[in-house]
Amino acid sequence: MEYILECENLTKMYKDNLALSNVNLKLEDNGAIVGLLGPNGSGKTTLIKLIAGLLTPTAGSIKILGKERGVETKSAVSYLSDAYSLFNDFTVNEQMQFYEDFFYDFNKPKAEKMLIELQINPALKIKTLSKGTKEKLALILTLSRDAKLYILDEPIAGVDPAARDYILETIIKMKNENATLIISTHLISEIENYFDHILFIKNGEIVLSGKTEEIRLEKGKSIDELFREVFRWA
Amino acid sequence: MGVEEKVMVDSPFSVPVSDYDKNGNVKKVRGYVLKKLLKYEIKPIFTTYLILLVILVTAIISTCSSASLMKNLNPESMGYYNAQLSLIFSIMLFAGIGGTLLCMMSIKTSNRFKKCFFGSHGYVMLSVPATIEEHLLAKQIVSVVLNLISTILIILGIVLAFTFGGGANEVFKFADFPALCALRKTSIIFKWLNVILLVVFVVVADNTLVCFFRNKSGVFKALSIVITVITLEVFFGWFINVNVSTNYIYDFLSNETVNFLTTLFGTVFLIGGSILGFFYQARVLKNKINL
Repeated sequence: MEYILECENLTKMYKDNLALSNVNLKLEDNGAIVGLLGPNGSGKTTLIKLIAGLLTPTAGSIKILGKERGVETKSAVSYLSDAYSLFNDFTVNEQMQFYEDFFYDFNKPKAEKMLIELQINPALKIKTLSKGTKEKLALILTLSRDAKLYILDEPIAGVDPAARDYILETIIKMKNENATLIISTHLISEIENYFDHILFIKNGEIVLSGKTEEIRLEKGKSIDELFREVFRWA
Repeated sequence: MGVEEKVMVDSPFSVPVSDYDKNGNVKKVRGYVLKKLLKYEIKPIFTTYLILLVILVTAIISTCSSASLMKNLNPESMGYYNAQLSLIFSIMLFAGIGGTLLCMMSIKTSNRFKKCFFGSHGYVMLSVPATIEEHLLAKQIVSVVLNLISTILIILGIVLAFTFGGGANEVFKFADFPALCALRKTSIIFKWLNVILLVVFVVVADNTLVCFFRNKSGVFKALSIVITVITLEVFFGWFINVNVSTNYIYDFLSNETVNFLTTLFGTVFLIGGSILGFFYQARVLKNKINL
């Protein structure tokens, strides 16, 4: 069986602070939508950055489609950060050109279609766009790649509630059918119905991993209720 | 088939078809990535650099014009040394403008380096399929080329000002500047090689400082200025042979020995320092990034 993602004894330390501890994780290459759920400081973003190739693990290994993380795996992963990262001095068109230059799987017609749908003028400088529009643009650029693995870190956190459904539908619609999608979020109730698989992360360790429906049936609770139970303040 | 042509191949690591060898294995076409990195390195600073170049060229023209005017003044009414001092003053002013522009450029490129690796742009830049070494190489190549052009223009400006001012040989004697005369000597290629090495060293040193003081932007900016100023002094000392310390050593050793030793030591220091700085940057970027 081929795995899209394999983490083996993955550990990350920031000086003396242990962010991830011996994470072992295998995700099948079956086009699933995976929810990476955990409270602030649990290690979600660190895990995501390690998979995206932005950080180097302190110990352990990460494989994407059987290959050790590196330049090649970066070309298979489409990553959206939780922080604003576009180039303010570029126009929307120039930023698209950047993606097209570096990512061979960038689908420009797909991006242009989305820009029209979301009424974003490609000639405008990015610094002139509103915060919400910038986030939408970053999402469009990430999803316009025909990647095998999408990783979205808090994609709907900064979007107003009215736009959330639209964004979520867009995410599901735009992603490759065969691609796996990992979404990290706090807003579980709004998104849990989309998840095929969930991962609960707490204090740098995966405390729960499984198919969403099976967990719901086994625990007799929604994922949101389970999350509140697992992560409630003791 | 061109590298730019996109072909969706049946591979999760989709790359252009030209990246495959005859057996269908992915071959490394790292030059293509480096070319694109260079493009996006130049693009954001090109306008600022163009403005700095215009200022520099304007300063060269005005310095040469004033030097030429002074030459045409009646030296008898003005006094010979007054005329020479005015010429030297205007050239020093020009050198000051040039030095300031180099410092500004140095800060601009250092800031960009920080933003790209330790700031918000890092999320995008570091997720592109390029190695850390390629990222660093692109940044360093662009900075070296831009700084080298500025440095050459500054040297050219000084030489032209002396030429337009006339009596250049007198000035060289007066200021003990045998070096600008060295432009006519056979060692000039070696001197220029040292200028290139020096610019490479300054650029690498600046970026290494950014890595070292990545959480203290004020420190690296200040040190960046200090390094540029010291380097300019060393550069002029080296290029023009008026370095105080080497003049002192001349009392003990022959000119040839001192020249050979200082050049050898300087060259080894610049090459070694640049290589060490580059590897230090790569080590920090591979292991210490905390975006």
